[in-house]
Amino acid sequence: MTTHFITDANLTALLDSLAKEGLVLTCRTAPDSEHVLYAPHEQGDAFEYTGFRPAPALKGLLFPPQEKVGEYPAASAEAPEPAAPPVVVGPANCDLRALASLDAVFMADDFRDGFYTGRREKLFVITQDCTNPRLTCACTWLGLKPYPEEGFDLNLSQVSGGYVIEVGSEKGRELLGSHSSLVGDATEEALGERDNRRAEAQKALEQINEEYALGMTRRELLALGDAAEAWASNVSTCVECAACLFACPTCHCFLLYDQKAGDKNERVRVWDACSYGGYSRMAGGGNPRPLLMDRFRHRFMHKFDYFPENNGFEMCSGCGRCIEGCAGKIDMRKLFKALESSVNASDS
Amino acid sequence: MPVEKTACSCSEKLYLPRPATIVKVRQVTPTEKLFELRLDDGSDLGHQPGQFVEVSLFGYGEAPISVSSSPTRKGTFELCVRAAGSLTNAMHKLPEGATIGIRGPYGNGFDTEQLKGKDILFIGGGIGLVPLRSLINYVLDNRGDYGKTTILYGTKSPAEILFTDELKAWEEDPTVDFRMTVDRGDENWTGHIGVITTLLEDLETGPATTYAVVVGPPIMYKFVLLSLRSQDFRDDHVIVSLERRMKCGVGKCGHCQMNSIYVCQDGPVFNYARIKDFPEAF
Repeated sequence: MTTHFITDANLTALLDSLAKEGLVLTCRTAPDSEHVLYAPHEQGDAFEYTGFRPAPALKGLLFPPQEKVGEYPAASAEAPEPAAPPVVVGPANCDLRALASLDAVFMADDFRDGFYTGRREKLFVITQDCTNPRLTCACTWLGLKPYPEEGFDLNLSQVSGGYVIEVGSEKGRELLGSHSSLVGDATEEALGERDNRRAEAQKALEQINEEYALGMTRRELLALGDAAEAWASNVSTCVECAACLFACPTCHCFLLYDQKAGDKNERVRVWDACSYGGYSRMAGGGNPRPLLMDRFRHRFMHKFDYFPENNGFEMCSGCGRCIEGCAGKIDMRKLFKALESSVNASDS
Repeated sequence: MPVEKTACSCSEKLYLPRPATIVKVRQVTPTEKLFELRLDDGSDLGHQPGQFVEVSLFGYGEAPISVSSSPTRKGTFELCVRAAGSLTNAMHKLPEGATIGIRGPYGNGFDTEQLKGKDILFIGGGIGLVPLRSLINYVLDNRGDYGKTTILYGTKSPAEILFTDELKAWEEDPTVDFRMTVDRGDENWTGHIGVITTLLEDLETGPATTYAVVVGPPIMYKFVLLSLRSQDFRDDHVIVSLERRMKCGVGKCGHCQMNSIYVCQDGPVFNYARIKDFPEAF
C-alpha cells in the first residue's frame, strides 16, 4: 500500500475540501470528559488526533438504532434510498474489524440487507492509529493490532510535523489523487517514527492484557462442561441493562415492529439485545433461554463459538466498549480467565 | 464527494410484505382458525412443505406461521392459526375478504427428495399437525413416489382435534395407516386414550426403511425420541420441525438462533442427528 506524508495544515485543507462536498465527521474529545465523540468538521478546524477510538461505534451509522425499513400498503413499492453516510475520520482498527462482522451478517449473499449495504458501499473511512490505548482495550488479547492493515480508505499515523497517510482502497487513492498538491512523499524517518509508535502501542496493549493471557482458545474454554462457578460469579452483577450489547460494535440483533402513520403502516427496525428475558420467548410461552445465565452465556457463545464456526473469525473487535459500559463491572477477559482457572482447578 | 455512487444490487424490500386476501376462514377448534389465502398479485406462494411465512397484520406487526397446505394444491394456501398473542388474536377477528401481508416463504422445509421411496411415519402432536399436514398431503398427492405411510396424531383432548374432515379421509384411505389418540377423553370419545407414545408401542415399524417425521410440543419430542430409539430408529432417520421466535425470517435479527444455527434459515426442519447434541434444541 502506498504511503504519503501530509502536514497538519494540509490535513485541515483536505478535510475542508471534503466538508464542502458533504458531512465530514471527525473525532473530538468531549469537554470535561475522557470520551471521544464525533462532531461535524467546520471549515478551518484543525484535526484533533486522539490516538484512541471514538466512543460511538460505526454500526450506528450503517445500522441506526431505529429506522423505518418500509411502509405498506406501499404507494410506491420501493423504500426511499437511505441517506449516504458521511465521511468518517478517526475510527481505529477495532472499528474496522467490527465492520467485517456486520458485513458478514447484512451483506450475506442469500439475503442482502439493502439499507446496510447501500450505506456500507458508500462509506468512506479515514482511520487513525491507536497509540493511546486504555485499560479496557483488548485488541491484542484477540490477536488483533492497534493499527489497520486492511479495510480502510485512508489511515493517519501521527508523526513529527504531521501524518503518514496510507492509502487502503481505490476510493482512497482517487481522493488523494485529486488532492495531490496537499501530500508529499513519506520519508524513511517518518515511516520509522510511525513504526516505532505502533510498536510502543502494541507493547502497551500487551502489558495491559498480560494478566488475561490464555493458554487455551476461547472456543475451547467455552466448551468446558464443569465451569458453572466461573459463569455464576461473572454473571452475578449483571443487571440485564444490555449496555454491553448496544455499545458493542459487532452486536446486530434487531426487532421489527409496525406503527401506524396515517392510513399506512410503517415497519420499523430497532436494536434489540439477546440478554433481555423476552428476547426469544414465543407466543405460546416457550423460551429457549429463560434464565439470565442462559442469555449471558449465549452472548459469549455467539461471539466466540457460533460466529467463528459460521464465518471463520470471532465476533469481537477488542474495543472494550462492553467493559467500559458495564454497570456491573463485568469484563469478558476476567470471565475467560475464570473459565481457564476452573480447568486448572479440576486438573489439580 | 469522494464517495462512489454505486448502484445497490440488493433488495430494499427485504422487510416488506406482499398483500394477500383472506379467501375463506373456518373455525376448526375453539382456539384455532384455518385461513385460506391468495396473494393479490395472483402468483402461487411457491413454498415447500414445512416452510413458514411471516404474517403482517396492519398495526400489529409480524408473526411466523407455518404453511399448512401442500404446494400440490395450487392457487391458494392455508395457514392454521392459534389465537395465542396480540397478532394472532387480531387475525382471528378478520373477516373473509380482508387483506393481510405475507413475507416468505422462509426456511428449508421438508426434504421431499430424500424421503422418496421411503416408508414414512408421521407423528404429530397438537398443532404440530399444522406444518406436518403440508407434507402429508404432499406425499398423498404424489403417492407413487413414497412407500408405506403411517400417521400418528395425538391431542390433549377431543376438543383440540384439527382438520376432522381430512382425518376421516386419511382414515378411509387404504394406503394410509392412520391412528389417533387423546390424552384425556370426554363423554363422546370412543377412540384410543393415552399419550402418543402408546400408539407407537403398538406399531410394527421397519426402522431400516422408515423415516419418522415428528412435529409437536417440546415435551412430546422428549418421549417420542426415546420411544423411536427403543424401536431401533437411527437418529438420522428422524426428522423434526422446531418452533422458534423467527422475527426477520432472513437470518439476521438473531431471535431464532439455536446454538450456531439460525432456525429461520437452516430450519425449521432438521435431521435429528444434526441437532441432537445442541443444548438449546428441545
